[in-house]
Amino acid sequence: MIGTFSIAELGHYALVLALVLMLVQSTVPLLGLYWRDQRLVAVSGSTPIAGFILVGIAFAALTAAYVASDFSVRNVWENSHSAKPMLYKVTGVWGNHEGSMLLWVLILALFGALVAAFGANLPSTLRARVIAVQGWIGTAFLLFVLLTSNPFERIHPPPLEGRDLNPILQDIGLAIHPPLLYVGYVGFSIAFAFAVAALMERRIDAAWARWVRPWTLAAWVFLTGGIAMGSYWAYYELGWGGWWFWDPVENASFMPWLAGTALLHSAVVMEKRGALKVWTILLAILTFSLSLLGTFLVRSGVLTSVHAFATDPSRGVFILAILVAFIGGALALFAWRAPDLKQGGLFAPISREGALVFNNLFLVTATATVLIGTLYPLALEAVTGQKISVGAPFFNLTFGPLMVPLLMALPFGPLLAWKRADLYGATQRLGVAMIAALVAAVITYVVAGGKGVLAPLALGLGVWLIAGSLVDLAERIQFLRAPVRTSWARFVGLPRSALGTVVAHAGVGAMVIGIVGTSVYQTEEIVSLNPGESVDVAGYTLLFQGMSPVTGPNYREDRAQFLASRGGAEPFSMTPSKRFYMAREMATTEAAIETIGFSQLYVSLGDEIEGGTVAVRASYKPLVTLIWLGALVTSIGGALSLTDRRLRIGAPKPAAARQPKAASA
Amino acid sequence: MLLWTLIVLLTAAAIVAVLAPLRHAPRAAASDAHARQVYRDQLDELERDKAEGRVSAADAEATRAEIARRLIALDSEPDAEPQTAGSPALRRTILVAAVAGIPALSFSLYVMLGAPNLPGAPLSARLEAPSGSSDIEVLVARTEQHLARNPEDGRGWEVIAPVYLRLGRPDDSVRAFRNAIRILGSTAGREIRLGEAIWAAENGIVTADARAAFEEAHRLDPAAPQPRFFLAIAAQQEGNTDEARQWLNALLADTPADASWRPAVVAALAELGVTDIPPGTQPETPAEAPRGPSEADVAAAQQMSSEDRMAMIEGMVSGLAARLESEPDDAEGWIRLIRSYVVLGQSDAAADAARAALAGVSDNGDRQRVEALIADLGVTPAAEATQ
Repeated sequence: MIGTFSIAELGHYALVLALVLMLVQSTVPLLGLYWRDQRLVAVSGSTPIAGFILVGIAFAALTAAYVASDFSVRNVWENSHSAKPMLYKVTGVWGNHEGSMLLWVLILALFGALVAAFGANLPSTLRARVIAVQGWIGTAFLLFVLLTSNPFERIHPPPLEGRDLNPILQDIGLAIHPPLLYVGYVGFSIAFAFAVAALMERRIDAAWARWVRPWTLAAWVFLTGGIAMGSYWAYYELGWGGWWFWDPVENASFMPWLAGTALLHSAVVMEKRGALKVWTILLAILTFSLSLLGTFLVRSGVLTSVHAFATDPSRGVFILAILVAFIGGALALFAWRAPDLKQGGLFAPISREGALVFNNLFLVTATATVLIGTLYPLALEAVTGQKISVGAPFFNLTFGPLMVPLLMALPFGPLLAWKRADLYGATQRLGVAMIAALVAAVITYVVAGGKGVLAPLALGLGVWLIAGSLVDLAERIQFLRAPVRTSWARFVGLPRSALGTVVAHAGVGAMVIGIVGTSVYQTEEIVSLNPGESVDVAGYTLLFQGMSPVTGPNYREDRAQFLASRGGAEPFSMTPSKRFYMAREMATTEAAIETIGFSQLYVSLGDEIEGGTVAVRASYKPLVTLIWLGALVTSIGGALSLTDRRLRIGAPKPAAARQPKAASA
Repeated sequence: MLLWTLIVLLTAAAIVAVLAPLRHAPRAAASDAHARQVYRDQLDELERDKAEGRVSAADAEATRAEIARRLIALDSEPDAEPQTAGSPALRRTILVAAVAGIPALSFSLYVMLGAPNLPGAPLSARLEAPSGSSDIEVLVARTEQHLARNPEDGRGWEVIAPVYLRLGRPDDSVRAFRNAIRILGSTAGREIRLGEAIWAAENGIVTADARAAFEEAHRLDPAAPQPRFFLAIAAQQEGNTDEARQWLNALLADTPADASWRPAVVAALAELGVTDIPPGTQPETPAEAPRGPSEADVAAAQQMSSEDRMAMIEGMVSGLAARLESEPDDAEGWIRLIRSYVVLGQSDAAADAARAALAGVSDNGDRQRVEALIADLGVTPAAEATQ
């Protein structure tokens, strides 16, 4: 059967058909609303699901072509190789421009289908509009894929061997990082669609914030995980142990995260108090706009160089057109309709609302900072041709100081009451956390040998966040103020969203500790070693035993053998290596990492390997894993909040039915 | 056939998905029921907070009033969009539009973009059934697989490098020659072939890399003619005509009268304006010297972008083709044309040229040379080529 017809062609057709259904989805529900015809509106319930299945077929067909090494498909030939391990044949599907855009569209279609399938708690008019807006985005991106980045282009006659996947991407990270990131990016399209739909309806109330919340939260949870995964991947694969580079591609994913975090918090105010409506709608539009901008920056080739843009202008111009149409259109609609919106509840500056406004101010300013740092060099190069690099120093000087007041204020937020709050009372209750933070700072100062004051204080800030979260939890369950049984009962009955807040904020604290620990207290040795020589780093002795060649499925490897031990304790072996991928003639560095508690010993080989001598970079990174563990905990906090009963999907039903359950818990 | 059957089934399923909701009117629900539900939940939550002592009684009362106001606002707002069951006429129109429009749009788009007649070619199927015409490709693929496993096999790289060049893959050829030199060591012969491969990959320009290879070859074997010739071309391209002339004059002095490359040297000198070739060494038929690009052309090529350069090369090739159409009895010309087509990847044009060459060349010996080249490059002369 295979060989007589191409499965890729079936996928190609399914993708074209999905485009046609997206067109239906974009128009028919709106016509139904215009003509007040319920049945036409109901088309918005079935088409997104069919569209998702069709894009799924297309994606499966491309995957099948990769698995079978069908090099008559240009995309497979360009990015695969018959000797590549099966995992990378599959992940290679999205390890390239065309395939990753197909994944983008697949996730977009998935979210449309989810709204159609689980949006029963939404008013039918709002749901139809959300799905139609989602259809516009889907149509634009399907056209982009089919016309400028078609993964189903064929070659005849087919070449016998493929060009292989960029070896840096041949890693388990490719299996996890892009899908997570894209679910996050694309998930914000739902918040965008909700915002545009609400502006079209001219009806925006507190209920809207609750409806949009689970979608925003889900996208945010995945984006958090995706960014953290990407950071860890860069850390162990790029070979010099950095975990964040302020690289434009990273910033492209970080900006929607910052704006999305602001959105999550402002939506809480809107839901509880009906305030900040206009602002929340604007944030929803901006968050997805930043996702689109990120896609544009990464996918048009603008980032590698302004000139790479010119090599394939059709793609860049196409995404730019999508960007202008959606961002410009949504902002124009916003400008037109926002003045009609009624303002909601009032509040004093010192209140939960006030704290969340504070949060939003700082997060949005931080987003703007990152945006400027990312776009300014591009704009400058485009206008004057001058190349400058805005690197870590710029961001450390701007982004860092913005984060400090935000993080210092963070533990107060959950302790403040709505409307007007008692700051003095909150400070009193946080006294324990302040003491814990100061103790941690003093201990760090002493352990570090009395060098520097800022770093111990920064570490104390992390402890402050964790302890502050615990205080919030203790307050909620009246820990030590009520009998243990009562506290336990309150803990069990605690709304998941409150628990999620505690966990997510504590995760941020862990991240801060990890960042400070590894940035300030890392020790590193860069030496050349002959077999038999050793290097000492942070009390560990690394004995270099020699190099040995290893042959992998599609690469050769020079593996260095190290025996590491601390003060004569049981030694363990570490084997950093250099890999050489034959098909692309590219080398990669594989670092050896040993995790000790929350800290890591990191050994990688330098560029020069000659006559048995190796250049070695050995570093001890205290508490480094807390960076990613903290992000993971934060992400789990979001997921916990997502399981809150308020957000569970359900059609309207009598509220009384829920009361007994809460009482019995 | 199977593909089209599946395509029709998919399309039918898509149409059903669009039309299914049109059959029944959905259950009508008041448009504010959903919002009402949210506010009732908020009231419940407030009760819980109050019971747990998280809000004071006064604050709870104020909040309750606020939520109540939201509920009242829902009542006061007119139901914005009352919906009807819709008109049957409209539904019929939509039905016809969906049944006709969806397939029309998707089929026509697909026919524009897709290639339904190209069979799939999974690697396993192709390796099992090598057809006659792709023999050389299968051999190359096997060699590549062998080299992937044994990347230090210098002989293997050396064998495959010229094959790549003949298959019109000069970049791969360059890589293979470099590997051969890295593993087996540098010799004049290897450096010369590397230089020629780079020269071919760069569309006939002696680039810095090519020049380095020829310089190395010249150092290893000062007498070898090819490096000296290409170094002259390089000098000429850089505008050092004096240096080019020196190289060529020296080369000519060492060149026997019957050497096969002599006409090329003479022609190159002629381009530099040197026509007073020493008597006795004058080639018999200077008119047959290869007609290459002029110095001006080459200089222009260096200024060009890669697209422009490609266009110039294609222009030169079509000029050659036009000349050969009027003067078909020119074996050298045909050989160059066929080679060019192969390098440009235009296998159909190469096949046509092969047919025309076999028909046009009268001298038997020359014909054999053309035939040898055709076999060498793996070009199959077009259908009417039998005579």
